Amino acid sequence: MSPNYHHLHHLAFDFELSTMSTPVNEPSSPPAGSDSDEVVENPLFDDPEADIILRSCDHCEFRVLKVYIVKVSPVLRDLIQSQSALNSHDTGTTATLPSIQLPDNGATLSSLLTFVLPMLPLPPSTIEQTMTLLSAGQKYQMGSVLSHIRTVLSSQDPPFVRPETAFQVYSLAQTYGLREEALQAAHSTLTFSFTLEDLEGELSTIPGVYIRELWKYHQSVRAHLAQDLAAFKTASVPHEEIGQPCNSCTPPWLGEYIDAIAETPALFNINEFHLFLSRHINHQHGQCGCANIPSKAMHNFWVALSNVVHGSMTKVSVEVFRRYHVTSYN
Amino acid sequence: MGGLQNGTSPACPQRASPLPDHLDMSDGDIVIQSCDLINFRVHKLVLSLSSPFFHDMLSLPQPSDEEAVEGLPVVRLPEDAEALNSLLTMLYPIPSVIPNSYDKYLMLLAALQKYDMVGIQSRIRKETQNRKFPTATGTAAFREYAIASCRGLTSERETSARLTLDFPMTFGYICDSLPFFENWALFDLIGFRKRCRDNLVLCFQSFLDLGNPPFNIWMSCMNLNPCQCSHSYGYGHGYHSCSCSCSSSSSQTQTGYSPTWLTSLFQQLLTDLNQAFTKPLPNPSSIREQYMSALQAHTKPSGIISCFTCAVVHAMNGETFCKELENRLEQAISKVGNFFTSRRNYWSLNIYPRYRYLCPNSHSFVTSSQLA
Repeated sequence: MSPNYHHLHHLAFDFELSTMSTPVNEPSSPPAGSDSDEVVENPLFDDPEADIILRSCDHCEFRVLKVYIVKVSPVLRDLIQSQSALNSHDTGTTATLPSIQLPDNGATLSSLLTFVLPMLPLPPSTIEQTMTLLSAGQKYQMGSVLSHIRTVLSSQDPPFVRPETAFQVYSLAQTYGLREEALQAAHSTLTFSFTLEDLEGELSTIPGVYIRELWKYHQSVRAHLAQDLAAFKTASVPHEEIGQPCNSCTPPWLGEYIDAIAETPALFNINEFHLFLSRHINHQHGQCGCANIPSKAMHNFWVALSNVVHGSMTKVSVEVFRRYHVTSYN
Repeated sequence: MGGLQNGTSPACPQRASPLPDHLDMSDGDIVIQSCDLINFRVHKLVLSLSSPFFHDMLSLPQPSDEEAVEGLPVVRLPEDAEALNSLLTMLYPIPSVIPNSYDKYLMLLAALQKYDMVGIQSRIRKETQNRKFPTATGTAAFREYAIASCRGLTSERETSARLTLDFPMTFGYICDSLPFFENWALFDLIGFRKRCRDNLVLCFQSFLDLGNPPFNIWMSCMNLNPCQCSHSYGYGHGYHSCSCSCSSSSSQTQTGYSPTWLTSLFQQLLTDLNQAFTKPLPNPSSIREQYMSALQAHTKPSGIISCFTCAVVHAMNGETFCKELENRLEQAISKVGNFFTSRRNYWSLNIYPRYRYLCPNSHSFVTSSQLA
């Protein structure tokens, strides 16, 4: 990949290209009061064969092999090359290692390096730190490392992005420009009834401008759902799967449920589905064929409905991504 | 106005000019430049006397190579020319120029606060106390609240928060104002609305007990319409007085009567409060109108008086009754008034760590040091 000088310019404010070099065997312990407890202790961070030192903003040092860094980050590769060019004019630094001062803290760099170096990846424990890690990966254009981090995060139990964390993740993702996480979190907020009254506590962490974006996302999902579910209702799927058990008609509760999802996507879950059915059966005092719909038919219907709903949401995600790309290219 | 040249934003700084036209500012010894590059020639002494911020700033030694306009030092400020023009008129013995829109007025107050011009800020607030700005409608009310919140204008914040109660508060309604909100401001406004709703619910619930003073003015309805209820009894030519619970009657309590039309009104308002976010909240100033409509519908359903009792009670005590309703509703909302003062303390004490993390650079109350 060719050097990206645009990024060098862009990052000039963030990075300090260290023109001073560090003696080879200087100990790399972080100072008191830093995030040292979060910094992973690993021999690979103090490699005796290290040929570069990465310094964090809180004075942690990571002595690593340059090759790992330049292979995964074009931004850091360019920085290191610039550093080498500067050092080549300096004849008195042969016994020292080049160092790069980075704006990230020790905990973030430490976690990031576990994904870069051949070792067990250690994602951070808090949402804030995780988002900072992803942000660092994005800043250094570590595409493959970002995928690695995201894979590890998605396999966590409980998942990193879930309804309880959705609003905080969304806000941080917007702050750091992490589109993928923003979209995941936005999707996760669909389980909430999206009204100001209900979201009071959640909204305390999100600036208004991001809330507006999130609301627009919900609006878009609702609009797509309304359109797609209307088509689903008129299509033959519900009739085929469920039949006409309700006094020889398509059960009215099904239509009501489908309409309700279009209005409130949070209702799209199997419990709500069964709740609508139960209410209907109670209302009919059990004198209705809906009580005897075969479970296989119910399952097939649910699968068909899920496909439509997920299809709508995917359409919105694609639209949002396209919009982001258009915005970033313009 | 004198200092504002051509009223437009030029591409390059304008020559310093006196402020205003009829005030001799030729001996001004410093130039204030607005963000839209308009220059105002003013006096250092006047700035220093009116603002501790400028006093401190101007008492610092100036660099020898500082920029100059017509040989005078220049201070660049982030306010636009219109705001600076208003601000500077307040420093000289000339009529103050107060912005004609509430948004701009808030910006001016924020500037005065930022430059520690507390005395002038109080004066302007007093001057504008009886001034009627065009009433903010709809989404503008929410925007004004958001601006007042992020600028730390506590009193204006409360006023505009109160104004937002007259409008629905849904995402659809406030969408365009959302970018003006800092996260805690929206959170606070939701809390404020909920408290107002809760207080109003208690208030209307207390109104339902019309048998208690001072609401025990009502007497048994003498409805002149034939009663439709099955247990009515005749009175004169089909007219009757009844104490049943039909829509045109009243129910007797130990200490007085509760006309059903009135309790229905309060019940309806209570029901509406369930939708406190999708509908405007009942307003103390509109309760009289609602009361009158309900009374009219009861006493004169077809233009002819049919319930003399209620009409007479209203004629004798209606005004006092309405005032009492207004007062109680006003009190119910006013009780929530100090909500923002306490919230301000919360935020300034850094009690919400999540918020602090997310907005490390945001601050609701700008101080001189932050500005510097």
